[in-house]
Amino acid sequence: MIDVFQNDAFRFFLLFNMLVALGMYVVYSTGQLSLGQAGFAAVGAYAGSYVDVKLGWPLVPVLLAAAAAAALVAIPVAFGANRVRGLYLVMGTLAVTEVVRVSLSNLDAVGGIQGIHGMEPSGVLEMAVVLALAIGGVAWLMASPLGLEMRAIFDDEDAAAAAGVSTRTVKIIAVVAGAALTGIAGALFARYLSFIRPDLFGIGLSFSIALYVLIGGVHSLAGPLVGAFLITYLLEVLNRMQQFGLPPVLDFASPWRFAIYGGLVMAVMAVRPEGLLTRGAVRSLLAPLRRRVRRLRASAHAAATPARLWTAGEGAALEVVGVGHRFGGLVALEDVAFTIRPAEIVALLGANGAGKTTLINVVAGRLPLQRGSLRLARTSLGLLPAHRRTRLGVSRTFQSVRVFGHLTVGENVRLGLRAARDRARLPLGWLIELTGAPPEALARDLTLVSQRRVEIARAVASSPLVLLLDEPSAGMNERERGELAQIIRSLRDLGIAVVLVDHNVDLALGIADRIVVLDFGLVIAEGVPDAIRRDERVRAAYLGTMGRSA
Amino acid sequence: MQGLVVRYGRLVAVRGVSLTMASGETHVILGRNGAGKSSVLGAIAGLARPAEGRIRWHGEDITAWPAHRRVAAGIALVPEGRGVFVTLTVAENLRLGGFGLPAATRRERVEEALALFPFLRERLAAPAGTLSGGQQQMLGVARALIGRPRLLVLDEPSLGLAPVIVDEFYGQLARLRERGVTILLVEQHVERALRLADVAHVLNLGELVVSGTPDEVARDPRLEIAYLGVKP
Amino acid sequence: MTELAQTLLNGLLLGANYALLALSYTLVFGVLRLLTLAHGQIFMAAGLVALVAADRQGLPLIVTGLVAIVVGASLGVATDLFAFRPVGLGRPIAAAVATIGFALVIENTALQLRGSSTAVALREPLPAPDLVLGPFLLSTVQLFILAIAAVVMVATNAFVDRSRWGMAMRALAESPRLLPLLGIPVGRITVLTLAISGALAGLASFLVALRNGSVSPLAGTDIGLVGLAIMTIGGLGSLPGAMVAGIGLGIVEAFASSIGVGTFQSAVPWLLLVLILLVRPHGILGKPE
Repeated sequence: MIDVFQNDAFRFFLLFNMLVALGMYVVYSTGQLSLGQAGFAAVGAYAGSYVDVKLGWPLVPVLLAAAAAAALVAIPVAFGANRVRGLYLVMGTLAVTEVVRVSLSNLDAVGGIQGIHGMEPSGVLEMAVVLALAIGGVAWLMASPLGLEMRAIFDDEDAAAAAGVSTRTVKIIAVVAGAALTGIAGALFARYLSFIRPDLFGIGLSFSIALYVLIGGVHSLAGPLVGAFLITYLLEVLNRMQQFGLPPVLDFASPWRFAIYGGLVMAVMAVRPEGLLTRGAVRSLLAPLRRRVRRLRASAHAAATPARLWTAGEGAALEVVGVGHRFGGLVALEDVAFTIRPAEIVALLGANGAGKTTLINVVAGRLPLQRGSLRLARTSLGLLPAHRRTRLGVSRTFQSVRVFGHLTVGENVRLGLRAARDRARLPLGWLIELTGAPPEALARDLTLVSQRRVEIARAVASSPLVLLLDEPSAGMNERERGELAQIIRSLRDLGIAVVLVDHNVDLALGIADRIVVLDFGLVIAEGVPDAIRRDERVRAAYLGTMGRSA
Repeated sequence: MQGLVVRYGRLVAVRGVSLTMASGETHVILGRNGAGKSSVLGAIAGLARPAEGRIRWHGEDITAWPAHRRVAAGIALVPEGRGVFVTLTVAENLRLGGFGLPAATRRERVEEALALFPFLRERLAAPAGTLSGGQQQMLGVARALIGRPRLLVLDEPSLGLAPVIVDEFYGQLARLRERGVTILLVEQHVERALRLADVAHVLNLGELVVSGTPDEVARDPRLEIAYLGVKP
Repeated sequence: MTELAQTLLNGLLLGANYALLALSYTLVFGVLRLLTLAHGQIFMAAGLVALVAADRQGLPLIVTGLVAIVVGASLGVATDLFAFRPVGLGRPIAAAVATIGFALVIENTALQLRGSSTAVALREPLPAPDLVLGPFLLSTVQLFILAIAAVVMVATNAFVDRSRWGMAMRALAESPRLLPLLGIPVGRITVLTLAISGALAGLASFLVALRNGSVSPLAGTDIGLVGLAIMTIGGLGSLPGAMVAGIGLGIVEAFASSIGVGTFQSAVPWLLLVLILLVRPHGILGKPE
């Protein structure tokens, strides 16, 4: 079965499939499942062939032209991809493949259905070199901060935006880069054949590429490469079964090879839905290597409490004035106003549906500001998108914990640090301690309470002036709530203005400097905890018989 | 009448928990998060298979029964997060509660449920998602009652609800109790739950630590340890 | 009959088939939140088996149609058992990939059993158009196609909206974990959904065979993808959207063909898809999640 490697065509196609799988990996690492890769390969193949045959360019410029052409076509696709999500995105990219193919069939300048022929031949060697370079490049990309942002978007795009990642830009870069890589592969493919036709790059190819990535495993660079290798190899072996001198009973393998392949696909998905190489599997393989990377070990020793970020009394940190919000006909917020200073804890109380989370979403930028104004220190926040507000110093956590499951604790926190911009940075060691979890653990493997702390640490890592905590104590027992209270107090001591929304009345009344009570979108009371406890309106609207105990 | 017996052990979540309920009693399970309370309920409802131990229901061993079979046998669980379908109307949610019943019986039972929670009558055609949290919680209970369960199991019903709503809800539970419904409750609010229950159990780190009347349990120092997590 | 009327009629006939196929996808996606990429092959296999059986056994038209429906329903159930169940409801991408695998199995099997890739023709030739309905001149068969398609579409919608099982399907669409707690077995609902969905695909295949006169073993992938495109255009999970988009695409394609767009004909659904998504990122009647 090793004989298949003797075949030059097989060797070439093996490398080609690995390269296109790599190209798709770059795109899909941001969660955009593109079925348009064949279209990019076609564009690259045609561009490369054109400059080769009509202008006589040598290899490297040909490949660069292919990459450039594919990238150019990818730009409008990338912008379109930003507008649609999920399955709509998948179908939209599938449309790209088909539209490109049909367009090229009709473009007489590039030979219509006949295509182009007469390119300078390239072989396995050139493809191997390009593949090696590509692997190196993509590995470097994924290890870089940009790669971290891409992987965060894959896990949770909204949380990534809330953490300060410019999701639109990163997604566009991913599509264009992946397209460029695929275009180069297309050009090399054309040179191998010395001719190309539009129907070589059809929907079938796009689906095949997707299968390489999805079967191989999407959480590491190796996955798509392994997937492409195994699938190409398997189909070739099955195709040539007669040549191996095996018992005749296995002769059925060749005509039934697609059914066998299909059956194996179903089996793999049942057993390893995330692909053959899961993140866990790759991590355990790399574990010995990882132990040598001791970056985070240095901060394993108790980190000193960091210096103050902000000093109190320098004017308001956040001013909310006359904020209103409607969902269609439903009024969620009506003329809400309050201010908070640095080094202050303000608790927002209110029944479910009173508007607390809506208010947080409006302040954080997840919901548009329909009425009123928001000022962070002296900057107006009104028109800024969520990730910009995070970079300016407004961080938030979510009611349902949103951490990046496939990233480690350390990576989650480091992502938050990137949004700190030119503000003073908090020490990484201290932030890791805040999570109470080992830095190398995958976030998805942690308990809910640990995940919450990771989320808080990530939000704090951007050195915010204002921190919005949405129900952080949900799911915690009394001891854990006590620890949480300690954490929030220490954040206040750093100078951060903390806005806390929580249903645990004891926690909220216990640590807050001031309370704001919302009911049906209106502020019905504001004041110090003791006053709020005794307020009749608050009793009726929210506290009921609780909160009596001091 | 015999009641429910649960006895099982599982290395990960719960170890050797046993409890027996008699008809008409209200039991409450207390404990911190992670103590295993939801796991116990899951095992009773049929969502999770205990590694060891048996569950006996009115003398029959139901340990291997799937969830929907237990429902048919009279065990109704209202899960954490209310258990209503927000995209369906209130009426449809109630209809689902009596899915396997003949139409006439189902209509009768729905009437009974509406008598208990009259506010639902005005909202029958509204999507359940337009109800407030507390109302949804009560809809979840109403739905569970349509099957005339012999055992009503509630998983943290007060979670995420404003205190004044929780008051109201517990009032409803008390009324159900008066009508003789057997209730098994899992709660974080110690005070409220103890006021309602006949028997209380405390779970700590997956083990049943204390069982007894509310007064006994309230005075038992092990309750505090279970909650505050004093480590040896 | 004027050329306009002819084109419109062609469009409606094509659209009716498209709508049924899109409906079959939408049912699965709307209820189970899962995508199946095997329906194109189910479409092909149902039509193939029905026509081959009709040829060998000399079956009347109605029975042929029933065979197609039954084969479709069975393959639908098989999709549930072999592709969806092993993967579970919570992993949409893996489930979709598994259906790709299943599609490969179906197609390979069909090609091997058929022995060649030539199309199978209807036993009897199609009757000539001889009925006049307003501006339209059509044959009884064509009227039959339109009528059946319309009835089935209305019935499917009514079933999901009003019946007991339809309600259970909508409940499943919202929360699969909640259903067993109500004493409703999830498995039964998924099987029912896939059976109806497969039956719709089989029916669509039969109606296409009535229109074209034959079924090709290689037709699966293309028609399957067009079905997906239509579902997307109409809005994922929206039954009315699927029907509107299906009929709409049929008419657009018919007009494109009469104008004469040449090789761009096969790109029409995809161009329409891109245009619609740019204007309405969730399809015509789709809802944001």
